[in-house]
Amino acid sequence: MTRAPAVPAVDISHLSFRYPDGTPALDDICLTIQPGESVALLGPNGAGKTTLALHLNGLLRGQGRVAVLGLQTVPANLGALRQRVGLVFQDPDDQLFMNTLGDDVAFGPRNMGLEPEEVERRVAESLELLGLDRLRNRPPHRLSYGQKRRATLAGVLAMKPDLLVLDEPSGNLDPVGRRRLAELLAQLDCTLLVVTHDLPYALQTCRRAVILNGGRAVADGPTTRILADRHLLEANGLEWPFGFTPPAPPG
Amino acid sequence: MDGDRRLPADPLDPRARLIALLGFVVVVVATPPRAAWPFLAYALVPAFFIGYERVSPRALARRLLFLGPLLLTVVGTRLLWFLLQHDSGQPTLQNEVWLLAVLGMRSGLAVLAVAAFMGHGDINRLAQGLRGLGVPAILTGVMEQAYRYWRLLWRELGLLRDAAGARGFRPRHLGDTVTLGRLTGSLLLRSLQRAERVHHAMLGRGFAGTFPTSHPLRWSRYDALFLLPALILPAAICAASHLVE
Repeated sequence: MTRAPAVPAVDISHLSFRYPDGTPALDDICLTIQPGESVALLGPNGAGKTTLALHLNGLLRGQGRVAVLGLQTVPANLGALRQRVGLVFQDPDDQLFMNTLGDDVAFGPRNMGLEPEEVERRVAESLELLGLDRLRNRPPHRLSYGQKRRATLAGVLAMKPDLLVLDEPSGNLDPVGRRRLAELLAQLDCTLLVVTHDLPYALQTCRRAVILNGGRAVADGPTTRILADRHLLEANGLEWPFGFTPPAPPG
Repeated sequence: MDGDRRLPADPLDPRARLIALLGFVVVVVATPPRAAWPFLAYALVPAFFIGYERVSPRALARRLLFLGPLLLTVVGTRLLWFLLQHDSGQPTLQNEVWLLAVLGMRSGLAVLAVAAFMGHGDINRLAQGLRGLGVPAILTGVMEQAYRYWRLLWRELGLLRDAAGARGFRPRHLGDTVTLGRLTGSLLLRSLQRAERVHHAMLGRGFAGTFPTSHPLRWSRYDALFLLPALILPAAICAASHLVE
């Protein structure tokens, strides 16, 4: 008996996008991510990483085909798509806007139309998972940066997404915060796309890496192999941080 | 810290709060401006609820501050009007002062009523109540978004002020208005860009135009217990003022 192939978590073919002012951002991107994979999207500033992430739940729409979890990013699917794709933004202040942390975490589940008891259960669960349960009634602007980072993740995890997209999750986090976040991501049971230029973090959290440069996908493979290719990295505006040497790829 | 203080769940339906507020304001405005005692008596009603709701003096003072510009404008225009009309001998200074006092009392009572009846001011519950009373969702949506944009604008203003101050900018003379103008323009652009990113983040979590709350609208006996004194007492005072007349 043959098993039907699983629907890819992300299936992008020939995606191109220009901003309204004419700036090209994505150029003929093709990318497939299978369910359960953890993928790092690497690239220098301005490579188009965030632009690509915004396409995954239809916040931006370019030319080409984007299907996420079997749903194409067309207006009719956006509601369902946004319930299943969790997008954590680069700057937590862009994401936290309700009066209290608890209300902010509840924002997504409420938009999903869940019963109040279920909303409450998910909020409590997410806050506890991220170690924020004691700050539930605190206004987001009174949280530390690390707490804000965790709060944005709690707000998205409360929606129980099938695909989690994190934009520069390690940015401005202290070493303990980075490690805790990496440990948490390892526990999650969903497809993971980490947008970053932090190579050690990509190695820590993702088995596969894709390099984006100038809006094009220029390399795709196991993270260990990609990071070991110093010339490839340097040609694409990336480099090992001081003191970092990636492990040799298997074989 | 304030933020950690858990506020008691609001047992009142927001529609009851809005009805109490509107009813109170209508009754106060309908009271003939012949004596001061009805207005002083009205003040007891919001004062009771302010005490009961434990509205902080700071929040109350902040709301009362809104009266300042209003009263200044009214005093200025009335004074001007009085000076222009004085030669014809029609209005007297005493009448003008009394009318100003009545205006001050009425608007002060309205602000007190907002502080008293709208509780701790959850904008989403207020919008939900307005929708429940038939206000179109598009209007309440605009109200909620405007409230959030206002807060965002303040936050960006603070960041900009710190950034300018950290590099020694202190507006001292007229030449600095150019810099202030540029800062204002920058503030608007930055806040618009951030508002756009915030909106993206909201859409990403399924926002579809309204802020759903976990508390459905439902009338309860608490609403009756709240509305009875909130409406009957002012109505009784109003009736008494008419009778005394």
